[in-house]
This record gives sequence, C-alpha cells and structure tokens, in this order.
Amino acid sequence: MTGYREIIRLALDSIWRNKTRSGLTMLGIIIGVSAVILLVSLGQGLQKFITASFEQLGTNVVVIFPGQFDINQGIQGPPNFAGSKFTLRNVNDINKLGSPIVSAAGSIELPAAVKYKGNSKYTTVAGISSEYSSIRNLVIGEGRNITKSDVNLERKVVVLGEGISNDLFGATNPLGKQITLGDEKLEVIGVLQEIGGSNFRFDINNFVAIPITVSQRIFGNDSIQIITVKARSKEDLPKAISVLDKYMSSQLSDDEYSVVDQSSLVSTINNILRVVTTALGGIAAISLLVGGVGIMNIMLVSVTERTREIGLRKAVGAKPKNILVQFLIEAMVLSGMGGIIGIFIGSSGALIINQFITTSISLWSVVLAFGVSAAVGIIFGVAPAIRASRLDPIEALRYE
Amino acid sequence: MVTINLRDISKTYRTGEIEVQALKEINLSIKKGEFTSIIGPSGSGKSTLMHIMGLLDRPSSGEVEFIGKNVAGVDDDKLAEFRNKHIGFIFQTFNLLPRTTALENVALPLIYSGVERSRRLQLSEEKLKNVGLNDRLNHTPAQLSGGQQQRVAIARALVNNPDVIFADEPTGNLDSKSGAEIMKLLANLNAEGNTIILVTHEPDIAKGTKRTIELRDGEIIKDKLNGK
Repeated sequence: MTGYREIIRLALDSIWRNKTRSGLTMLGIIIGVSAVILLVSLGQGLQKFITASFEQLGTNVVVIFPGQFDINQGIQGPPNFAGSKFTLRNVNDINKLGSPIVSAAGSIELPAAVKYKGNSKYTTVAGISSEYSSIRNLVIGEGRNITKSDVNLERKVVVLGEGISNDLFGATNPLGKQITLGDEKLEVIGVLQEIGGSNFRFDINNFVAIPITVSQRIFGNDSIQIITVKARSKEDLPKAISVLDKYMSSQLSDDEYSVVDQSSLVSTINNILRVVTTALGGIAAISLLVGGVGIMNIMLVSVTERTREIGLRKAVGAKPKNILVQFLIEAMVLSGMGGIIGIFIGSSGALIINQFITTSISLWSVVLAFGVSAAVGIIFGVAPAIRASRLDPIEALRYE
Repeated sequence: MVTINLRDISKTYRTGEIEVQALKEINLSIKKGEFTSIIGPSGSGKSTLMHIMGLLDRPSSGEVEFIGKNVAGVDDDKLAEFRNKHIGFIFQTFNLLPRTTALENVALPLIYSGVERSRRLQLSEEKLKNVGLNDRLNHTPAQLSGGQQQRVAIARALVNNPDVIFADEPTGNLDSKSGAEIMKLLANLNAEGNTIILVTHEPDIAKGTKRTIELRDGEIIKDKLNGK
C-alpha cells in the first residue's frame, strides 16, 4: 500500500517546513554526538601517546623507584625520591648481576636553570651514569656521550637535548662551549638527536645530562633517585624482576624500594585511561539522552499542534499505522540527521585539536554515537507517534 | 442505486453519569446522484449522522450499508481504506495543510491509496482545474482567499473520484458571495453525477439542494424534496 518512501518524504517535508524548530531540536543530538566523539578521541589519543612514549623508552626496561610504589595494587603515593637510599654502589652491584640483566644506570633529576651568555633556560637536569643513554635509547647527534670515565673522574661535561641547545646557542656550534649550572661551568660535549614528541617523564629535547657524580656534588646529595635496568628481552622481564627483588631486599627493607616493570606500568595507566575515556564518553552520552528528551518534547508539541492535520489525514484514509510510521520516521530523521551532523562536527573538532594534542577518532565511538542517537530517535519518538496514531479523527478535526 | 442505507441507527454518548442519545433509530437511504442537505439546530444530531454515514464513527446499534456492503464488522484499517476510496470530505474550516501548496493538498488522499507521485500531481492538477484554480496550483493556503481555499478542499474531496461527498457546513466560514459560489460549484458537481450530502444549520443553504432532511433531538422530523 502506502510506500515507506512516501512516508519518509512526508517526514522530510514536515521537518523542512519547520526549519528553525527542527534545527534546534537536532542541536541536542548534535552536541551529544560530537561530545561523545570528541571526548573519546581525546582519551584514546592520550592512551596512544602514552603507549608510544613508553615504547620509545624501551619495552625491556625495569625501573627501581625509591619507597613503596606499586602501581598494580593501586597508587600508594608517588615515589619517595627525597628519601631515596639508593647509591651508586647499588648500581654497580646490579651491573654485575649478569644475565638476564644487561646493564643498569642510576639517575637523579632535578629542575635547574642553565645559562649561556645572555640566554637562560629553566629545565630538568639529569645526573646519569654512562649506561643511561643506551638503556633509554638516547642517541647522540653531534659530539659524544657521557662515558664511564666522565662519571668516575667527575668531569664537568654536559650533553644537551636538541631543543635546549637551540634555545641557548641558536646557530652557534655548542660543542666545546661552556654553560653555567648554578656556580659550575660545564663543557658541552654532545647534543642529542632530535626526537619527535615528548617522553613520559621528561621532554628529551629539553633534557640536560651531566655525569651523576657531578650532579651529586652540585646538588649536595649522595643518593640517587632512580635505577633503570635493561633486561636482555621483554620475555626476560619477570626473571629480571625477581633477580632485582632478591638483590634489593638484601640491601634495603621492603618499603624502601619498588621494582616496576614498565610494560605493566603502561597497561595499568592505559587501564586507568580506558576507564576515564569510558566515563567521559558516558557523561557525553547523558547529553545525548537529554537531546532525546528534547526530541520527544518537540514531537509531542508537534502532535498537539498538528492534531487537525492528523484528523484530516485519517479522514481521507490514513490508517493508524501510517500516522505512527510518519511521526516515528520524523523523530528518527531528526535524531539521525543530528547524529550525522554531530559526527561531522565531533570529527572535525578532533582533527583540529589533533594539531595541538594527540587525538584518535575511533570507529567504535562514531558507530556507537550514531547508533545511540538513532536509537534515541526511535525510543523517544515512539510515545508521541503512538499518541498521534490513536487520535480519534472526529475529535482531532474539531480540535482548536 | 443506493449509496448509503441506514437501518435503525442509534448513537448514545456517555459523559460520566449522563447518557445522551444523539440519534434515535434513524432509517435513511441515500441514492446515487442525490444532492441531500441535513439540517437542524446544533445538538440535533446532524454531525453525528454525517460521521456515521461518512464511516468516521460507528453507531451504538443499527446497520450501515455503504455501496451495498454492511460495514458493521469491518475494522478501523478497512474503514480508513473505505473512506480513502469512496468518500470525500469538505469541512467548514477547510482543513488544508499549512505551508503546503494547493497541488500537494489536493494530492493528499492519493498518498494513502498508493498512487505514484507524478500521477498524483497530474490528477490533482485536473481536479484543481475543475474547480477553477488552474492558476493557483503552487499557492499555499495563506496565499489564497477563503473561497479559494474551500475550492482546494473540494478538489481534494474529488481527487479519488468518490462515491459520495460529505460537506460539513462548507459555507460557514465564508462571506455570502463566496458561499454562493461554493454552493453553485457543488450544484454543478452534482449535475455531473456526484452524490453530495451537505450538513448545515442554515435553511437558505439547504434550499440549494435537491432533498432536505431535517433532524431534531436525534430524530428525522422532515424528509422532503426541494421543488425548483
């Protein structure tokens, strides 16, 4: 009988005849869908970013933090850097533990200002042992790395990140120049290769590295903050962790150190982020629900306003189900169009934000947002449509 | 040939405690080609009678035979189909869809009979020409005078080539000149063979029809042919 294409045309006609109202009704859905897509893309972008940062650090790396810091049992406060009882002797011992441990490096990171002539830059200064660069995949672009003898002889040398080198020296070749850190003059011996993006704990491009012995003297502190250990492979990590645990427990009490496997750190952080992303998406989905209520509201108003039209349609031969389908399709078209516009706006927003922060539009968030908005249209369109289909034609025609 | 045959039709409304008997055992027969007016004061039951004859309402008791078919046991969907194929309605307030062209308004009943769009518009254009509005096809109701709007409504009532046309106070919202024109148009349509039933409370309007049935308190008190 009456084709669905005809009824879809009727619904579109009626939406088009009430442009302003239809637009405002769709706005709720548009905002909801674009918010879902935008927030989920932000959350997922963050996840991707963190995973990538950790992978850049190496997946076969174990970190020993001072204090009790077991992220897998829930975070029990930050690492206790100030109370660290690690020493360079520990690092040397670990280096001698052998397979599956390849090497270990100690490090201290402190914020400080570095100066060259008029230029000054406040950044993170890291005191490192010579193994650090190879464990952390820091690659020298020009000059040389910090060596064992630099550390042992407390040579006043410094390796700069690409970014900070540019900030301090501009076009001048920094190698062999002296920069000032506190009261000390340090000779630039190397510049790191530029790395795109930044890394989890520090921005490598703004990184300043000096021999760990020198930093201990400058900052007047004999302890070291972090011991970074490289295992032979990712598969050797559990064994490496147990070996490290055994050694550390022979040196310090259980609450003075934590051996943290980086990949489990990544998965834990990603789990947290996934929960955050889902929560954000969920909150945005509530606005979708509000949008749906808006559609129901407008459709009810529309049914009341068009009571006579409904009466007339029935008088000239529309069956209740024709009326039902007409109003249902109207609600679905409103929410569906709102959904499509929302996908467009949300995705464009995510792409624009991607210029500044990593975002990642995932197909599931788009499908979910559109699916929910279409479902919202059906669910919230049903009540008004049923009301319309049940109107008595005589009463409806008399309606003023 | 009999178009509508009513046997012992009664209609009772119940509003709370009070029962109102709108129609009392009406027996009536409308033949093909008749131009009948139903007249009576408000509350006499003339609208109820029209709704029952027009298959918009069902009697409390009695039988309605429409073009030879007893519609007593027929469901709502089937009644809608009946109205769509066999009945045209003209209302006092025109009941045109706002912001919709005359052509689309006239085509409305054809949507529900599954006529394809281009054919719909073609048929509608023919009917609009019949009522003298061939230069107003794409005007919306707001751009038409009352008389013109009622012509559009008449074209809509004609578009399915119905067996009977019901006109409920068709001149009630028009000035006397436009009203007279509409009555002339209805008389012409009747002369072309259309069966028309007109409901009015104005005796002057009823005089323009061939047969007048007068109702009072739900009963037919007079049924006479109008001499010309």
